[in-house]
Amino acid sequence: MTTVLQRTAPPTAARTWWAKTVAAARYEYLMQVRRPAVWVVVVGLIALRCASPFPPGFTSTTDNTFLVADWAGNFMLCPIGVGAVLADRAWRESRLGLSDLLTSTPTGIGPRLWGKAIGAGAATITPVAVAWVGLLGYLTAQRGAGVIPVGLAAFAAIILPGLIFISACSVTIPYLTGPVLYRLGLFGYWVWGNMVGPRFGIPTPAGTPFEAIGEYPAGAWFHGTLFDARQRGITPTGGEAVLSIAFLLLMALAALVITQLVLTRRSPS
Amino acid sequence: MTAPNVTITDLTVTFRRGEIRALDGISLRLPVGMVGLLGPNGAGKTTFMRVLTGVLLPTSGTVAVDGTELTSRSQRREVKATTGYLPQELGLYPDLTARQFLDYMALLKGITDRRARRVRVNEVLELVSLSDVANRKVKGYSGGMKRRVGIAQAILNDPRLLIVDEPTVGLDPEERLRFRSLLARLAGDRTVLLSTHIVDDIVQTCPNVVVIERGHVAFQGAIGDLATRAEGMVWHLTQPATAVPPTLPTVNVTPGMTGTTYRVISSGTPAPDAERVSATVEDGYIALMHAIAPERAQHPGPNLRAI
Repeated sequence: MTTVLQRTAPPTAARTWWAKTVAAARYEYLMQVRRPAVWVVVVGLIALRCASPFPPGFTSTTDNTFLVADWAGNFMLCPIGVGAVLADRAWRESRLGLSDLLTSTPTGIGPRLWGKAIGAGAATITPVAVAWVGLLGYLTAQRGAGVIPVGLAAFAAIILPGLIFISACSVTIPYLTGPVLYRLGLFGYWVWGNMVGPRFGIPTPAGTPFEAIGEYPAGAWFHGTLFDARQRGITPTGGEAVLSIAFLLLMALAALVITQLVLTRRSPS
Repeated sequence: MTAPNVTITDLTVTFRRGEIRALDGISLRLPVGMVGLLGPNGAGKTTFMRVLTGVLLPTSGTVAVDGTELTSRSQRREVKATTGYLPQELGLYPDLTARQFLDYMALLKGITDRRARRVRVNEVLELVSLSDVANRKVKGYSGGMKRRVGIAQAILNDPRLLIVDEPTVGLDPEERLRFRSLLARLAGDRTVLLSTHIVDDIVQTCPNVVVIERGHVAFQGAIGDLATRAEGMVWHLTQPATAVPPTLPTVNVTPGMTGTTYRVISSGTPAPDAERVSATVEDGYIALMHAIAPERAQHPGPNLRAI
């Protein structure tokens, strides 16, 4: 016969919510980071783009900030990989036959959704971070430790906001579209919204603060090479860079909050 | 710990905007101990269990556990905290070890204190005899081991109401017996609702039984009373092997040297040479399903009371 649990102190609701979210994030991280596809797809896309760094000649610069900003620009394809391997997380519990089991617990959808976004998102960003750290190690060996702080700052300001935005979209939108349609849409959005500049005559957020490849922070704070923004005749300011980052983070937050509200309305838990 | 007072009143669940009535006005009160839930495929057993666990909302009617109705979200969470559920379609995270999976489930069940959680996970692993393999990923487990992980997660929160849906499907005979005795041990002073197609599992473990057919309660009462429903109606009928089988409800068929013996249910003598035999629970169940039993209305037993 099992015994009744002796709890030291009844947890408060807020503490319980946080503990459950952290637990979900921890286990989602563990499960996602072990998937070979996460490493193969994400690192593969980084390697594909970085095999011939763009623009030509930037690696010979003596300006570390410019150097890391343009290297960050060469990571522009990896969010497609991050989104693609995150897209199947939304329906995973249903596919594994875990939905009833999880719904039968006294935990609502909130901690599980946020845990999935934080944990699986962080796990999928891990290969990007590892690749970036490897690159910084290489640059440090060439140019000294001065590259490290500016490299970390460039990662946080140029690469990370777009990855967070894509991660949030990739664990929420597939609830509506399914993973296959989402992946197609993601690829189309990324090319159209970030790589097809105004020179093609198609309305696009590319070159505006609402793009997701970090061109504004790169240009404003790291003197990085501008492409689509330059075509629009814009030299980004610090405020516009902040706006660009804030937009991505707020969109990520909105995607998660809206999904939580919709799923909570649908779920009996 | 005391067993909960589970009262179901006029419970109805419909699908496809009322086209399908999965449950149709079920009313009963569950007693302490093991309660068997029998019924053919599609009778509504799983729907019934999903409503009891708060996974599915009823179209109408109420389920109350110790007076707390599963109507609002907070009330459902309150009841879920003291309920354990092993669903029919049991999924596990294949990349987690059993210990990790149980730790995660314990957190979701509200055991946030790390030390208490570790102790509890070790306890349930010991109980289901998985301690030795607890650090192996569950994708390498056999069907029986996965089922044991399932029951382990169901009892993590020391539930007063334990609901298990077809727990022995796909298990080999030895594993099935082990599982059965584990459930019987767990019953003690809690209510265990066991749904299965295997009548023998219920005969061996459940003093009380509920039979659901087409969304209605066809029978509820002591297990012995189900057998007596077919008393006097069970016959052994032996025919040449080449003869056309009888059209009567048949419980089993035994080939023999003198012909084939059919165990049939019939309210009258099916043939002049038919031999009347004593009824078993399986006979009672088949009789009930074929509407041969004297009355199909609810039949309250000593512990199950119709409301």
